[in-house]
Amino acid sequence: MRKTAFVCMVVIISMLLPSTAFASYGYDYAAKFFIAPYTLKAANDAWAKLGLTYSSYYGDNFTKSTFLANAKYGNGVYALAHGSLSTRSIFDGTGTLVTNGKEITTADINTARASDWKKLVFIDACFSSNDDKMSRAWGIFTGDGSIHAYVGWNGCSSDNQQYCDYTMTFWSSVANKNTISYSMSEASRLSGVTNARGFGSLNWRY
Amino acid sequence: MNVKRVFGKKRLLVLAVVLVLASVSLSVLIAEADEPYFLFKPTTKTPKVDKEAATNIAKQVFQKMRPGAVVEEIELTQKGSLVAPIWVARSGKKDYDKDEVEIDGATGKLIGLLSGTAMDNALASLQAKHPLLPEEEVLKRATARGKSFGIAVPDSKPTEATSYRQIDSEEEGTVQWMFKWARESRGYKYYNDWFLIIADGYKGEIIGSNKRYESVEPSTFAINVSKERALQLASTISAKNGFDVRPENAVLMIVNPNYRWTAENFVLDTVEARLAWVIDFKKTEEGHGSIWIDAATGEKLGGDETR
Repeated sequence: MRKTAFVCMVVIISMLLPSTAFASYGYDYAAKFFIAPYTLKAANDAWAKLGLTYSSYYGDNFTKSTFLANAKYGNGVYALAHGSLSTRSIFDGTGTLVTNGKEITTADINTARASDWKKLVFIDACFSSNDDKMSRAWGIFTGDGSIHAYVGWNGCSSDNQQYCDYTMTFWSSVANKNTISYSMSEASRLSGVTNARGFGSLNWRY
Repeated sequence: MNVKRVFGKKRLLVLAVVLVLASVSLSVLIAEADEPYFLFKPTTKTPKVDKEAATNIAKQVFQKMRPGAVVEEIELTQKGSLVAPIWVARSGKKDYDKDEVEIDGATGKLIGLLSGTAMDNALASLQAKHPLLPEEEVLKRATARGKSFGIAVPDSKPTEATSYRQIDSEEEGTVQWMFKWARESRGYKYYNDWFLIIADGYKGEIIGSNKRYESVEPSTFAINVSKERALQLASTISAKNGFDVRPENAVLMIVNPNYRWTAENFVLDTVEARLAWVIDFKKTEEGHGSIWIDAATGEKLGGDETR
């Protein structure tokens, strides 16, 4: 009787607490990204509204080692960063050049993720969706048979009002339980930005 | 049942602590989740167009999108830093992508829409292997459809026409077109004020539209600063950041100052607008951007750069 009651209480408490751990990452590149406080908050608000926990790394806390150490935890990722076309990588803030070895490459991510399954990944960095190299690093690709999505940019993305509006609208719409595809259309419509591109499956909602 | 006897004092204490922590973390989550979002915030302002009138307008549009559709929810919002209230109405089944319209609370005019119905139709066209229409035909059909909804689609040629596929998938990735018309005042284009429609590439149905005319008109259109002087002023920013300015691409446009690269605080979502020299640059690494110099005063107004 005592044991049953105790188990019941534990079940009730675990139902009250968020059941899925998410990780959300933001990166302001030593305060050079002006939209970071807005887009990171939008992502975090979305996780919270969906009843999911999140970890947020911002500014100096967003280092290559932190990012990679967290890559195998949680099933949602949002990262605002520089992106490179030549190496298909994102920069970690300690490096400014593609060639200095400070960037986080798709191979780094693939290794650090350690086969952990991700539900939704948005790499908010230039060229992150020119092809599926980055999405595959997160274990997401079109036709992989799993209900999950990767969103990135086909070409450049800017640190400006339009791209800020896109990202904020996207997260707001996802939080309101619209499908990923619908959220992308809503974000395009309100921001005027059209070079977002997804991989995986987009017709699902939280 | 004696609770103390069932659990024991220690366990009861642990449970109490856990419950308190759970309720605190939950309240933090709820408090954060209830914060209004940036683009549409609830407002208590009184619009000229009342709820009943807005509902009727929305209902007429919804029925054109999907016969038999009703207005399921309608709320009064404020968009960004704009002061005028906007009615946002939605129609659709629970757990399905909804049709949504935005109605100007002052005039009752339709200023935006997003159609879950049109998105579903586009997906059905893709799956049925419906052939793609040429750009001109998509625009023609979308314009006619938009006008039938009461959207003021411009008759002029769009300033931008982009075709894209949201997802890299032959099965799910519908082809969409975005047609964009830049807002103009006295012959100058606004950097970030525009009207757009998103249409599917198969039947030219409107998936979305938006009229983003949020800036106030510049207080002056005076051009006291020459292009050469503007380039000179911009060079302090470009030299410091390693930008490769492309003088041949410098144009006059109406911008919303954000004060990037200045001593002022960076600002977003402002309705303030100035006529400025928009000076294009290439970055040393990959990417590009622009520096904005006030055409009347030579003030550095900020700009943007790719990431």
